[in-house]
Amino acid sequence: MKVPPDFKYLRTYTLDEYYEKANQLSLPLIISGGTVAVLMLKNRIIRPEAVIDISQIPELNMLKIDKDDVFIGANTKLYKLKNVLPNDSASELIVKSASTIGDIAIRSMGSVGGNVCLGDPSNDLPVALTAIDAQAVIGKKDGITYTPITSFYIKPFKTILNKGEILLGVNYKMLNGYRTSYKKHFINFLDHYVGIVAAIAKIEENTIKDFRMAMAGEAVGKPVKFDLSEFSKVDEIKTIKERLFDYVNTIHVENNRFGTANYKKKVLYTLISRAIDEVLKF
Amino acid sequence: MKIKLNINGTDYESEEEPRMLLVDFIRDVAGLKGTHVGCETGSCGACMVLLDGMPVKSCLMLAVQAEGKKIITIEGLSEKNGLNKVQKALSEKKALQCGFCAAGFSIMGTWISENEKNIDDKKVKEGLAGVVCRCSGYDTIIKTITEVAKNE
Repeated sequence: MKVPPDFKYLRTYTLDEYYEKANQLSLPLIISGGTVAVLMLKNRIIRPEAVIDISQIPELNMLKIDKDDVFIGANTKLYKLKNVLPNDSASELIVKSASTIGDIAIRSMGSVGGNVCLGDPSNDLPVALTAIDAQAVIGKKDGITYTPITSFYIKPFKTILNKGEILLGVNYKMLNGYRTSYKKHFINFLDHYVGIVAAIAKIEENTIKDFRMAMAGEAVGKPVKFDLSEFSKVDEIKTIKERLFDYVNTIHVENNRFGTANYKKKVLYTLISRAIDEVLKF
Repeated sequence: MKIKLNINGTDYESEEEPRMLLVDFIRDVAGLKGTHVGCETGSCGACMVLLDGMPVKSCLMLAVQAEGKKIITIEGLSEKNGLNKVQKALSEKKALQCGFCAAGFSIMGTWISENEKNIDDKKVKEGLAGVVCRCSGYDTIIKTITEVAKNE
């Protein structure tokens, strides 16, 4: 029987209460849904002196849509996303990504904030959010800052969040008339994703108007955004693929229990190739 | 700390450590043994309960997190005159074998039949993805739940 280590439990109802408590403690564990956090506690991977429950803070439960700006509060449950997000292409990519996380019972507990803040390369939302150029909305005692998701991660399991800070939610611009693709490769018995690729593109009369793509997963580490600005024609698919394969060859991929570097790169080639076909081919 | 939970419409209050898991509260404090402890990693679904109407895995949740919410266990699914439609169908079709996964399939099957629209095999399979049957009797379970959900 797995039992978490002993800790002090603090439930917060307002952001001010959170800032006060979080600043007093050295390394508190922040939980909203708690799926991964409770599992880490049970496996004694972490032994925090205190657990701060943020699930009752109203600002973190909000969904705000202002013209083409969308803000998803950190406490929003992953399962809820498909019912509450607007009907645009950026939201579609987020929903596609979220619907691949665990199962319904996990998604009904897991939150957007938890998936974004853990920094696990296997997590889904960071890849989709990177592809659509989303921002992390960070709260601290003296105000709010907006950081591109690409700058939110320092390395696997390490974000830029400092003591006393909190992810209030994520913010992105709606995109309309795009095609989206979300691909990933799972190693079941190791419970890990080797590679994850998210792509979104707008095509008009054989011309690429906008094309964005990101990848993550165990092979890559923190999410990476591709620069695809030089491509404008759909018939350049072969060149785009070659260019991205070349890029994958330049990144450092380790041989480890998840597979050899060669295997992992081949997985990435396949995912990239399939995602490109899905968004650029008609 | 004092933990107060509402399970199947009954309030339970007990002095417990905050690290107590929801599944342990349900089994050891409320004495409802139908919710099982299986893999303890959130993969098998034997500990599945409904929390404010949504299925959750009670081994991945602290009991204190469930305060103020309505918890329904497999015992709470039963209606006054016996088992609910899903439980009755699973029993009549002999869909469950050893029965260890009964809580997971009954809870999830009930949730699917009450919440999903335009039911087909694919939707049922997706819904049941978080429940494991080690006797591997999936075929009959999926057929039974699909049939009940379609008639709902």
